[in-house]
Amino acid sequence: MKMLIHDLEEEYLLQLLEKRKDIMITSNNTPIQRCIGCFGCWVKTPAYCVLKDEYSDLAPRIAACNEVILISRCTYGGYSPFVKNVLDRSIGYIHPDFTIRKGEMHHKSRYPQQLNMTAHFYGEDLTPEEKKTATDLVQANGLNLNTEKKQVFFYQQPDEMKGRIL
Amino acid sequence: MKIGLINGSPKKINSASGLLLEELKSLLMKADGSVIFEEWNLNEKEITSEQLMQMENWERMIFSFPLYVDGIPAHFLACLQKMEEHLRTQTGQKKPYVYVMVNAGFYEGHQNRLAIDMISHWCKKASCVMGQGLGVGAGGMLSSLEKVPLGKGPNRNLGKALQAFSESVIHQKTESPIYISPNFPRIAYRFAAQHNWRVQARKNGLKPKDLSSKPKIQPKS
Repeated sequence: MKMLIHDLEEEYLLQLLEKRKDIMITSNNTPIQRCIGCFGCWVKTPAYCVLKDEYSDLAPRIAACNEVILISRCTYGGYSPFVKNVLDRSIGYIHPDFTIRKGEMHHKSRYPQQLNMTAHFYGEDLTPEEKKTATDLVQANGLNLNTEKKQVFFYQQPDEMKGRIL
Repeated sequence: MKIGLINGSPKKINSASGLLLEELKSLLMKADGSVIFEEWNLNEKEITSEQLMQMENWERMIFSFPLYVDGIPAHFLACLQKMEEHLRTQTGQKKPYVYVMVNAGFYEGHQNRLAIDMISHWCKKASCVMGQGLGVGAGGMLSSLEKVPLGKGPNRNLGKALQAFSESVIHQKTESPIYISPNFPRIAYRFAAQHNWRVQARKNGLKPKDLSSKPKIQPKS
C-alpha cells in the first residue's frame, strides 16, 4: 500500500495517476487543523494526533503502507503549507525517544518496517539552491523517519508528472 | 530603529522560540536603548493586513520558530507566504534585513540548517536581505534553564551566540549562520528528555510501554 499526500485538486491528480487499488490519497479537501506542538501524539494518545479532524489518524494509516509519496509545490526549498501540515500532524509515526543515526540525534522508530519515500516537487523558476534544499530536506526527513529509499524529482508543471508518480 | 520580533511557535505560552526572543530583546535593548520593538505571536491567528502594513516601517525583522519535521511549521509557512506577497509588491520601499533563530528538540544546533536555508530562499522572493541565522539545539531544555544566566554553565554557548547574533542585528551585518548545542552532555539531555516523556505519559494515565504502541489502520480507499 502507498500513501500519497498532495496539494493538487483531487480531480486533477486523478488524471495524472494510473488506476491502482493499492493507494491511499490524502488531499486538501476537508479543513485541516494546525499542529499545536502539544506532543499529545507521543504522550497522550500515542501515534494519534489529539486534534479532532479527518487528519488525526495519519500515523497509523502511514504504518499500513510501505511507501509515502509526496506531491508538493516547492515552497522556499520545502513543502507547501498543506503538505507540510500533513507531515507536522504525522509525527506520531515516530517514537518520542531518541536514538543516534549518522552521529546525530534522531527519534527512534515506532514501527518496525522501513518505508520508501518519494517527493515530486513542482514549480516554475526554482533556483538550484531551492532544489538543493528540497533534496536535502527529503534526505533529512528520511533519516528521521528511518526510511529505506528516498527519491526526489522536480517539474516545472504538475502535468509533467503524468505517468511518473506510481 | 524599529525591529519586528516574530514568534512563529504554535505554542501560546512557554515556547522556546518566545524565550529566545526575550533574551535577544534584552541584549538589543542594552546595545541600543532607542530601539522600538513591534512583536507578533503568530500562533493560530491568521496574519492581518494591518500587520502586513506594519512591516513597512521595520528596519530589521527577527523570526524565531521551532524546527518542525526538518523545516518551518506549516502555520508559520502560510504566514510567510502572505508576508512575501506583501513585501514583493512594495516596490521602491526599503526592505527590512532578516534575522532568524530556529530551535530544535534535537541536541545538535546544525539540524536547523535547512529551515534557515528556507528563510534565505524566502528573503530572495520577498526582496529582503538575509542577515544571519542562529540554529539552537536542545530547545526542549531552554525553559528549564530560564534562571541560568546567559553565558554561564549549560547556557555558555547560547550566551556567546546570542551576543554575536545581537551585534549582527544592531549593526545590520550579513554573517554566516551560527549553530550551537548546549554545554550539557548529549547523553544526559537524551535521558532527561526521555524521562520527561514518561512523566507526562503517567500524568495522562498511560504506562511507559504505551508510548511504544503500534496502531495500524487500513486506509480508507
